[in-house]
Amino acid sequence: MNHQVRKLFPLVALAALLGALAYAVTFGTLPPAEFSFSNSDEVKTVDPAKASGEIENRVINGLFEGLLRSMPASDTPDENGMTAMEPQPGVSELPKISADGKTYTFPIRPAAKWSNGRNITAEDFVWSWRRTLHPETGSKYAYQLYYIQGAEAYNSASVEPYDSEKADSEKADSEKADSEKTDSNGRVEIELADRQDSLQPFPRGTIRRGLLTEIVKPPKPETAGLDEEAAKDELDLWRKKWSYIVDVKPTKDGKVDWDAKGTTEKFTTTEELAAGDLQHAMQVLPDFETTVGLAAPDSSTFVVTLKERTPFFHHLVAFYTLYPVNPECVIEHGTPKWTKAENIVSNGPYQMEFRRVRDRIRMKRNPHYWNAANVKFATVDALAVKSNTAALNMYLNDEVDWITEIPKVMVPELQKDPGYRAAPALITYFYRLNVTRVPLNNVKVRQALNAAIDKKQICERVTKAGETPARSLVPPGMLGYTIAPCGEYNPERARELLAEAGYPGGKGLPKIELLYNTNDNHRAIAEVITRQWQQNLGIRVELANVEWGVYLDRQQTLDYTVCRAGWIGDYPDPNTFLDMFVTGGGQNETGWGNPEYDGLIESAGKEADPKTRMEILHRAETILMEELPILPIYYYVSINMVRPEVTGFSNNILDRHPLHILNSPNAGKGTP
Amino acid sequence: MIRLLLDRIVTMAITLWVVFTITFFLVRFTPGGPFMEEKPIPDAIRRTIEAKFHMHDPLWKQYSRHLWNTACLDFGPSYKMEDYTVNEIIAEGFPVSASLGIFAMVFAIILGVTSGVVSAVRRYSAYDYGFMTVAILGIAVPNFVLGSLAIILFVFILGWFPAAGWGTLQQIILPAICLGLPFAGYIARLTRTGMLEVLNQDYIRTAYAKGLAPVNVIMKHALRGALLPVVSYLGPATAGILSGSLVLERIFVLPGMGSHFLEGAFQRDYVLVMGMVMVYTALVFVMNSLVDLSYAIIDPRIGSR
Amino acid sequence: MSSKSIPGNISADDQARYEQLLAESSNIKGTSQWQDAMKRLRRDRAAMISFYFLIATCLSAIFAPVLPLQSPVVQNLNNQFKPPSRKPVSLIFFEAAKESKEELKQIGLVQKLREFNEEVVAIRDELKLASGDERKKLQTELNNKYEIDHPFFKVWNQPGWLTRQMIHIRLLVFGDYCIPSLCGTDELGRDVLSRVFWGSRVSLMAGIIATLVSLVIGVSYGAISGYYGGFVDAVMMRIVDILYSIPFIFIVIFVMTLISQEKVQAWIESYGLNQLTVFYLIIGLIYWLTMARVVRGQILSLKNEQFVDAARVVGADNFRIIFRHLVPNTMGIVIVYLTLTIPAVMRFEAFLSFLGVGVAPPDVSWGLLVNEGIRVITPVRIYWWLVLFPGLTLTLTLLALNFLGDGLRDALDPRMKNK
Repeated sequence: MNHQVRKLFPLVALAALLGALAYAVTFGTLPPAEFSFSNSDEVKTVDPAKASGEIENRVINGLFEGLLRSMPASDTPDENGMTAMEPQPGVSELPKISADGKTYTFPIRPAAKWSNGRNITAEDFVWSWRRTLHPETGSKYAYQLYYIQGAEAYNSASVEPYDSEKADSEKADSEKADSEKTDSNGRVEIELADRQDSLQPFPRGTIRRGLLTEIVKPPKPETAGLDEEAAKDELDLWRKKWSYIVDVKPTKDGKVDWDAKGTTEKFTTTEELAAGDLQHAMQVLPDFETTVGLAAPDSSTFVVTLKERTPFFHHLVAFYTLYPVNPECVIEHGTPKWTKAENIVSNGPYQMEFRRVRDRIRMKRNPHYWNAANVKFATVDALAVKSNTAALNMYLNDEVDWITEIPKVMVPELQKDPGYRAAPALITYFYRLNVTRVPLNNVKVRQALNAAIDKKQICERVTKAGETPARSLVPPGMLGYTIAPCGEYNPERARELLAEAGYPGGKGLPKIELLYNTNDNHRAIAEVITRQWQQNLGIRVELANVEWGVYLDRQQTLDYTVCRAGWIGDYPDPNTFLDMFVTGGGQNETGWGNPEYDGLIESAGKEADPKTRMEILHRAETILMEELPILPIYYYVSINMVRPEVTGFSNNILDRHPLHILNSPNAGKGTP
Repeated sequence: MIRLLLDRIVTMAITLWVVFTITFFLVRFTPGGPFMEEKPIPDAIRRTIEAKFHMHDPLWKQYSRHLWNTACLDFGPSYKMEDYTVNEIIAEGFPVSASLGIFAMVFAIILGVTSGVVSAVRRYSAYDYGFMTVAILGIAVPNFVLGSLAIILFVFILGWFPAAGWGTLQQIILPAICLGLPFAGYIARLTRTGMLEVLNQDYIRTAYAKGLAPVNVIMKHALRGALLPVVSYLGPATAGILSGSLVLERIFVLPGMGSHFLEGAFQRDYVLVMGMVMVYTALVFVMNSLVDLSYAIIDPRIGSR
Repeated sequence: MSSKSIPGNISADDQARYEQLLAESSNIKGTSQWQDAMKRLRRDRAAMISFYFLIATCLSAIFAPVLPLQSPVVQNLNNQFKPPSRKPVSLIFFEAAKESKEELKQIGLVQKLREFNEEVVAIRDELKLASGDERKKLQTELNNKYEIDHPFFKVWNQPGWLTRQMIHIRLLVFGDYCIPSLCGTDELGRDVLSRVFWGSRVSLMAGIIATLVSLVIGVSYGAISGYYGGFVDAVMMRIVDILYSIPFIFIVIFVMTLISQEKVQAWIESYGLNQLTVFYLIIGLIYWLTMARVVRGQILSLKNEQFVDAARVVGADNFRIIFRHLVPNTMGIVIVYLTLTIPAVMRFEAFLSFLGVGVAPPDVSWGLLVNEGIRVITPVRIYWWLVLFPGLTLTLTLLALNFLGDGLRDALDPRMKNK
């Protein structure tokens, strides 16, 4: 080795070492934010159309805003310390609802702007909701939009050929002026395969619109001997081989003349089959403009047409799936690059300053937000701390201001802390009873089982995270609704009921099997309930635990006797819990049905007066709690810990805490 | 020199290919794909997502496509972090782990070499026994035990350091020390041994006889020979620091490559995990090669290859 | 010895001296390599202390079921997070009331066992009298009773046959008495002391099995490679070189998360293995590389020795030569590397269990215990005993293995001192 090289080497090594050290030191210089909270995990995405989860909720609600926003209904909490939440004007004022409850007109605020200064228009909403419904976006919550006319068909890309008989009969008995929307029969839009970027659904390629005359399907494949996955694969492949014969209508100045004579063209969605006059198309969807109930008559009016009256629709509007995204931004950068801090354009109280995976998302105040004057914090950090012990330690060490989860074992200790905030959540834990099986077909047996469960003991001894024992399906705290309770814990009465049912002292009662999916919490609860039933009623219960997939299957096919269940409400309205149990409902899964109950639920759906509607729902729940096809156990509780000096934080059933109404002495001191 | 380099590059390519193939087939032949989640998502959407990731193509096609992309250093979009590609996640995690590792390594080298030299020079003194005991403890105590006890002592009882997170220098010091301590111990032992051997050599005796001050003797003459085993240890030490950082990033909630790797593994984000395994392999390989290279440079006894 | 064997004319004095020398020399016994090593080892005090400590640890691990320990799995939510104390405890068995009006009974395990045996006897009696279908039903009920209903299964995690016999002995000798919670209790009210003892079984088992696997694979691989030499050797060593530069820790974590999926677990169970065994095997598969290299080196230097030729002349085939003659001669260096492997394996197992990808509950291991400890430590309550005791045991064991290893190395090969 060259002597010179060898002499230089120690110097080079030293220089490298110092350089590395300097590089390392540069990472330790982050100025603190004015407010920071710990989100329980890293968000999967900040794209409102694709997100699904509470964690994403907290961040997206800071970055974006929808037509309406869930806000505390009042500044002072009620006697339980709870505040009800209601949808308040966000980007738009409160909507005007038509007499039949199907048309919502949202007037967009003139002051509402994107973070790049452009005004928010109604067309932005049409475009965003269309994107959410577009099958290629893969939105997990698109079903929230299914209340809108034509939305479900669009989202599932289900097209039907033009049925001239149906068209005639519809024209005959429709009186509506809006004849285009009703004559949606057979109308399709086809996107040709000439997109700018084949992996990005927007901007789209050339669109052809017309009437679907026929779908040519090759013979259906045999799926008899195959397992589920393979069968689905076969059917998918078969569907891809279909070809669509469409009567493409001419377009003049962007408007389609549906009555003119069109040209017949053939399309297929599989590239390999496209040859000759069979053109390759990306997808064949129902025609959006004429079949889906969204319209923007002018830039500041957004009109939504629903399939039927949906009293809780404005709650849905305040949910992040229906928040808008900036079309130019998405088109220019594509999904998911548009979500990067240097590209993103949002319309909420905050915009994204930077994001580090599993570290933090730093949000800074959006000067173009219509209410920017009232946003107190200049910078907010959303930390992604997965371990709730670490989050607690950071809170106790004054490193974060608000944590969203605490280790369950610490609850008894922390309840004394001034920052402890617990509120019932929109989640009920209950047991399903298969009423088609003996002995559960006897209502007295079910009532006996309910009266023999000491729910308080379960909450205090087993779950121990401050949950509340449940006596109804619907959690308490919804604005304007009173819950209907079932029988309370009474072992004496339970034994009486069991005797009345014909099984005194538990004799002769067939063995009951309790099904649950593998989870420590479920097992612990099941064991305690089994013990309580044995103690109080003298009956034998067998526990069965299976994995999640099997558990879902058995619940669905009614292959169980008693099984554990839970339900998270999608919106703060009793309907989201109660409409599960209509006769034959997809989520019923108990075999129970009651015509009176069904009638009440249906009439509640049609009732225009909110107060009456709540009373109808209360009556329905009373029936449910008398017949007890389910046994409510407890309501989940959401626990937060917030520094006492932070104001604007309300306990509510949705566990929503809008960031822009929070305030603390730190506001204004922040980063120069 | 060139031949050595070429040989190294070829070996690295083969090694990476072996790792890629093993992980690829392990993933494909495990029942239950990465999208069988807790909350069932509608079938149609799941299939769209799977189609985007080409999961229904024939196996050999998937393999060659993935291999080609990996060779071009494009690991593709992450399965679970929907806004990110694997490259971006690794790029974000690397500086964190790098800075942690650098601090730990520097600490280990400084502490280790110093205590090793002092131990050797003042053999059988209190220093010697003291340092060597600490060194032995550092080697024997697993780093997660060390980290846990350090948190209890320095964060909760004494309150000198913040509990978790990353961003300020204060938050890096404790994890770096916990990470580097075992290696400091090992380096101390190596240095001590090396120094003892060298100090017994004739040329050192000559140097003393010449009248040079002991400091001079040690720093200019003895150290170089004593450092040889330390330098060759840096290779395995890097591998050790990379794997040790898995634990410490977990305890101290640092958003480095280690925590991305672990979370990816728990979430069944297979592309991310595969990509990171490749990156780790390459890193360890490069570090080992650099070490071999420096060894060749430092030690004049090793002739040019 | 007759004077005739001494040639020439020797004086009587000289003869006597020769005879004396001869007598003395026959008293000097030669020492084999092993005896030499043992002598050197005995002089190393640290190594000897470590040796006895390790023997004690192994014995306590093997005989843990016999010791009067509390249950390592029974949860008692009234007893969470108790610090170390000397409050007396006994083996309680919570019994679900048969009659509806009775309170929850708390009976000792000895009593429970007695009741259980009575039930079994009752069923047996019925069995004798029954026939046909009834008999089959009773037989299955009897089997179920042993496999599932046996009270031991509620108090310990799936004890095997040998473990159950040991538990019987424990009940005989100690009855329901348990050593109090000298190391406190954990999050679910379980006694830390007994968990440390039961965890030692898993951790030590990991060390032993994994080391054995690496030993078998490594020695065979290295011996074959070294013996055959040439192309075979070049290829085999190239493979080792490539495998050597792979950081296996990451691949193992990846593989373990694959394995912990439910579907894969079911697949493993169908082959009669359980996750723990697979875990041990996987760890063992990583550590054979160094062993292979080292053994190959030894074989290379030994294969040209004369005893190999001698064996070949006698007609031994290659296999016999390798495994009967060459490998035993490498045992010295193999043992040296074994002492390096065992602590590395145990540490690796603890590392993986700490991260949550190793041993899974309800099994216990030291790494898992430290993990459980660190998960609940907050400034509000510092449950130091949850981390200190398992950590201390782990550290002491690793230290002991280190010292013993150092001592063995020095003893067997003084030339390798301080490497």
